[in-house]
Amino acid sequence: MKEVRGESKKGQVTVFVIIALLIIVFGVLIYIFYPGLNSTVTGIEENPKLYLQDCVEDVLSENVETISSQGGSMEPDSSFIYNGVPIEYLCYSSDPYAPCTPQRALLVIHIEEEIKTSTKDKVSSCFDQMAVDYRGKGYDVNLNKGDFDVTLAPNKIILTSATRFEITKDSVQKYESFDVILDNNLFELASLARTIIIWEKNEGTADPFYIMNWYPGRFDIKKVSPDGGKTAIWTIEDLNTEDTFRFASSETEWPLGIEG
Amino acid sequence: MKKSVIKIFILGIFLAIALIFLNNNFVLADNNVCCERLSTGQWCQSAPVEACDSDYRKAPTSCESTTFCSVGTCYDSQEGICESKVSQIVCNNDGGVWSEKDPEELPQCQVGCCLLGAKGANLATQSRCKELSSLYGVKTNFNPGITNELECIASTGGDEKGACVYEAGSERTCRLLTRAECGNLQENVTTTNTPEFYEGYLCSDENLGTNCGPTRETTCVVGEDEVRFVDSCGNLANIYDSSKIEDKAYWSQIIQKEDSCNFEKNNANSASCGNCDFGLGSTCKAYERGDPAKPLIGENLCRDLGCSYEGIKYKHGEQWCGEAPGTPKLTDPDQDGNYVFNGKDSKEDVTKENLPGSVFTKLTCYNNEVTVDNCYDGRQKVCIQSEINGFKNAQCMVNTWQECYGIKNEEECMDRNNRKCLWIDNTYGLGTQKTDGKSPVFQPSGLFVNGNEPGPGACVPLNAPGFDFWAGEGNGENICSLGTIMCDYHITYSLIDRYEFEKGSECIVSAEEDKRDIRPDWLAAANSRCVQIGDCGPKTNFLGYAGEKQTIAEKIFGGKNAVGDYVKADGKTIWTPEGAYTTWSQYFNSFNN
Repeated sequence: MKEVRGESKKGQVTVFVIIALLIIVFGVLIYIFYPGLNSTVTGIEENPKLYLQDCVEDVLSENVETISSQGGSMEPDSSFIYNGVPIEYLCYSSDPYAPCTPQRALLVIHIEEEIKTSTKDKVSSCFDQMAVDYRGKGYDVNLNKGDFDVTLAPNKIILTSATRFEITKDSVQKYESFDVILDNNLFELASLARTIIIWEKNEGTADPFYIMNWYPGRFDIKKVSPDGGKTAIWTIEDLNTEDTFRFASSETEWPLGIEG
Repeated sequence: MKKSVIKIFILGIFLAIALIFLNNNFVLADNNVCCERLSTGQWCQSAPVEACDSDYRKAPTSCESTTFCSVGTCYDSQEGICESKVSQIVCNNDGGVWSEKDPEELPQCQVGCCLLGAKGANLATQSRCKELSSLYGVKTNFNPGITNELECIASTGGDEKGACVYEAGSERTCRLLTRAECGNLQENVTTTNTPEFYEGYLCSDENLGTNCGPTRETTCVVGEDEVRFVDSCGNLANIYDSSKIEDKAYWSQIIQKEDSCNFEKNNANSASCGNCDFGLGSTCKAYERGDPAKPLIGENLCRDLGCSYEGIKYKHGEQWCGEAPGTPKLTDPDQDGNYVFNGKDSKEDVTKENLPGSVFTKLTCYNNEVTVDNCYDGRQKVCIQSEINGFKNAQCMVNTWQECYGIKNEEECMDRNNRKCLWIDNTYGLGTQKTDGKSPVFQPSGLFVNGNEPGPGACVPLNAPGFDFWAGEGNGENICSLGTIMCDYHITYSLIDRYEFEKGSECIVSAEEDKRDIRPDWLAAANSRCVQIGDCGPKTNFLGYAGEKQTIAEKIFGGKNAVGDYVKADGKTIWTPEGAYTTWSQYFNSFNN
């Protein structure tokens, strides 16, 4: 009797395992063959604001990362190639023995413009796609695209769109503006970069450890010179958020001789 | 009767150089102009005219003297951002408004403290503050009276934390929040009542009657250094102090860092206290096997941010000069530029220090990591170490040696506020010198006679620099030639006195035939003077390879009985490139060859 009961238990376990496997396989198949299902389930019936956030966030994040790693520009005007990446000179001197001259003014605003320009197409296509998806769900959609701005703020990058979006099914829902928020401290990193540039302009070369000591435990600042002291590649990392900003600057050299 | 044998040699002693250094390119081209933009895209650069972008302006003056590249303040009133020291064209390109005034003089650029509610505070212009407040959905709170960032952050004191108690279903629970966050709690979580805020209290306070209580767990918090206790609801509690685990008061109210265990110590590797301090060299981290101490409670402790380098322990933030081969250890105990070499000497040992190829290094211990920085090639910067209360500091200071060579008096030479030079008393001044061969050179100055020497004493760099010989820059060869000394000698012969010096005794051992060696002490002194100029002379380089010394004697012409004349240096017959002329005709014929 005991042995019979043992076999019965084993059989039940086997059946449960098979059922569990079938459920998993079924789920995976749905995920693979119906990728649109995800957005349909989680985005569409929720909230257009969340839809836009989901739609734009990845591209916004990628663009911010690229801009941050290239000195604040998608396509730097004047750059030093470091590990295959063009890094913009934010301070440059063609005379190796003279302090550098800042090459960008209002860096924060410039970065905001760069992010805006690079994200423009995606924002537009997301609104278009949003309209299509809501229509597909049986809504009447009224889309009136407006301009958008990007603002760098402490710990946040905020994309604010003036697009008006109206959907009607049983009732009318109106959206007058949209925000996409990215957790990123590029604002403070760019501000710190500006501090370094002014130091380099005034003194010829800045010391990363002094700057780190101004903000103990908040930033990690590294300076390397791949060309033997002519160019400094600065990398500033926010230790809390792990966001980084990298830029190039001409270092003042000290003459190995005297004027002949 | 005196039968004289006149032998006139000119001994050109070229204490030639292991490394030869040159200069050319260093010269800042006088024909540079200010280019508004270079053809390679950079703004406001001093460069040769052909490097300028022809579509932009240029002026034959310094950039700061031009209208388009003069430096001032760039601002955007709408965004409320101001930046100083920006060229006009750069500012305009980036959409800013440029002013020659300093930011302090521009009303648009006056910064104050912008309070952003729960989001903290930062210094900003009023316009920027309005924009940020709008973005964060808080009322603009701008205080123009606070212009210091630390004061600004401190002024957010209204955001004191406390226990935010609320009902969630049948449970009375709690979160540690600011008053503002507590007020907004209902937007984020489902509560069945209005949350109550108890400023300064911890959620584990028994009197609050919540389901949160003390635990034996600790945690590290992003952005903070201290080890914190955690209550049973996952809220942060006070700084970890093992002696307080059973102390109900310690689990009741928020205790400030300065009132917590061992304040103002880093508590690195303390098993009992988690009051870490990044500035003092510690921060919270999870305990790992092999750590010097295991926390008595929980799994986190203050990690020592110090470093161990070549068997020596350094504190977090310490900087020190490396023991780079061929460099001395320099300190400046009185902070007056009078460097002390290796803790005892006032000058370098030229045979061991500031050798060709050597570079000073500065090392930094920061966050458990040692970074090595080269001060600069050619010892254009030297590392100076200091120590205050046992804390090491080091800096790469510019080696201001360039002016030394032209200085002719000791007082000016030793003005360490303006340059770093060393006065050598008992030697000839720098510049190619020709002695009369009589004076006991390298003797105290009073013994210089006849007045035809250029004057005793030379001003040389305190730390001998190197020159950019490999790039053909830096004028190194010319600088080293300042060490050249020529010594004439003239020996007469008479039956009574035999050979004797008319002049040349300072540099030749004896007038007697077969003893006319160059005096080793004269040679050594000339060499010593030469090597102090910089990377000149037969110096050993930083890897220990000796340089090559050539002593050249050139016999220009000789008279009767001059056959077989020679001089020796270091026991060897030295080079006579033109050979020995035994007759005047041979000498003059040499010009025709």
